[in-house]
Amino acid sequence: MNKCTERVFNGLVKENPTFVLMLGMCPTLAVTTSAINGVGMGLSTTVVLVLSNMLIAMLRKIIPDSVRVPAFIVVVASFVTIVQFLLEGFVPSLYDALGIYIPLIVVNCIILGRAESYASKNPVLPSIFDGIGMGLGFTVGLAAIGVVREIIGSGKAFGFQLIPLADSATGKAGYVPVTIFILAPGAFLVLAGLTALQNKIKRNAAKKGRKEVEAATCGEGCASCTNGACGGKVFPAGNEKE
Amino acid sequence: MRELLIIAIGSALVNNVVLSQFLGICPFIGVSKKVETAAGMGGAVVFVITIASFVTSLIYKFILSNKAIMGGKLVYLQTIVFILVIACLVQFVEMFLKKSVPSLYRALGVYLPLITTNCAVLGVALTNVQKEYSVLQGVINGVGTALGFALAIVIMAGIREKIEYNDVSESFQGTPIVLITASLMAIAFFGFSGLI
Amino acid sequence: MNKIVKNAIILTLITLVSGVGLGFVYEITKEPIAQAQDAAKKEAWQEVFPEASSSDFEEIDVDAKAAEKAIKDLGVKAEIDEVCEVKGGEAGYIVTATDKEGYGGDIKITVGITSDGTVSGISILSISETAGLGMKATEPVFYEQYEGKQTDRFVVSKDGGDGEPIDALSGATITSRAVTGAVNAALGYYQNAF
Repeated sequence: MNKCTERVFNGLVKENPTFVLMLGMCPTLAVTTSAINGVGMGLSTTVVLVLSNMLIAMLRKIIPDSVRVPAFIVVVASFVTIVQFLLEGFVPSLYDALGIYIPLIVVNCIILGRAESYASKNPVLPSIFDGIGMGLGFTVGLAAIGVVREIIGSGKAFGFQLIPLADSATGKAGYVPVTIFILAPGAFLVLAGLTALQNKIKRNAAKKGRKEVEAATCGEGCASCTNGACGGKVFPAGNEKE
Repeated sequence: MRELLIIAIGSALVNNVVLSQFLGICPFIGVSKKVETAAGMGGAVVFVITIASFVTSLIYKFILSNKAIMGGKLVYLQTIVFILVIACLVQFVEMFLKKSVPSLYRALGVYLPLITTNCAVLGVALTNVQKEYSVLQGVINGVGTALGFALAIVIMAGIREKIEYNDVSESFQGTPIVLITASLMAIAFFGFSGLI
Repeated sequence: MNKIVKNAIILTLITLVSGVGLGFVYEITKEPIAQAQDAAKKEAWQEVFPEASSSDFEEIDVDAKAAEKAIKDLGVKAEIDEVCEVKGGEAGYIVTATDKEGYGGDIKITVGITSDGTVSGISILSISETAGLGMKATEPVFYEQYEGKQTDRFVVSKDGGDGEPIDALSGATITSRAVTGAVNAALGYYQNAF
């Protein structure tokens, strides 16, 4: 059981997919216009991740190595579609808010990345917990970005008005929301700020000699994901020659 | 004709795939260090998206939503079918180029396998369905989107080459400064929203 | 060669099992999805005709010809989805129309029209516009502009033309036009069909 909690901690902190590995940037930026949407997206992804990790770990001895990537894609796509049905039936408001980004969970590098680098090599139970950890880490990342954008962009957090807004009609003084933060540029800006903050914390930690942290981790994650995990040949070399 | 032009401009500039829809961010950040590689990636994406949007439109029109097959009920399989088709397509394109057009393969080859996970490709296929585009409109939308991607990534690479010479605050080095650049580009692209 | 066949068989099997599994889940969730949509629809009806009770609503078929003519006359890219007759209390009709020219895709709106052609209320069923700009269409300040007006058509005031003027949302003219387009389509259908 110890290994399982270690996996959860790993996903939440050590290899946080949003801030450390920089995976799944597309939904990270697109759906975080509010904290609620971020959490919804994060939890949907978590469900898919846990289920696909579980099934892939179960099938890891059956799936031949050379066709594993297409097999993973099929498994992931099926679960994504199932989650899509469930959301449409039971949480229609979230379904509307997330829109096209639900089917796009399929191409979220986190899921294929975990399938390839963890679930396909490990037993079922740790794989499930790996999925939970990674999924929660992603959810926390999205929620953090969502909260910052929502507060600055509309003075709210999770839909509650935190800062009273100014009203030009009645001349009431208050906060004038910076709309750009819920628009596209704000997404980039907030993520830049949070990543820089995290870099700074890391460097300070390194200075104090607590831990050796390679500064290079950030940003290389995405490229290495596309190189290694998801992007590698879909039908590997052995197959295509004949 | 006018409608097609609007679709093309809309998808390339106004609703730029990277800067306003956030699709294909990974390659946008990962492969934009040099103009040369960025252009290669852009070219490969244009190539694949054009073919993929054509093929997926055809499949959707004539198989998935065809009333003659299961009464058009197969629509719910679209995600799984599209992603498999795209994955196979990328592989076929790679094999074909390797054998028949080696010069083009040498230029685009390394980028092709990366494209399967570029969500812009699946994104275009799904938007085509969502907006009920015809096959021709779908292809135009695909080409527009892909050109928009190529434009964004090449501009980004150009800026990044210059950033190399700048004195960036330590915490902002690497990804953060790239994201800020992207943010400013997104603001600039807002200017296009009056076009349509 | 043998290995390829084996791989292909396994892959096909996985795909088949997933396909069948999906079909299964689809059948199970079909009912809740339909129910959710139905509930949203009824809620919208109630919203645009607050005084009617739920038994007063009766869904009727869309007259395809009237719908086609209304949309052609307006020159918008829209369609009429559902029509409902309101009996008892304040009588009228409810027309649900979708405009396809929103900034972020379709905008589906339910419009309540009383028997004298006054817009009794509008409710936005689905919208996916830009947060902070187009999404402001869902705020009362904007959509209440349509309510209580007796007119043939609305126009976004910036565009000019005949009709009841609507102030566009700042920074979201396209959304404002699309919402107006859907409301106009509903009104046009009402005039042609009844």
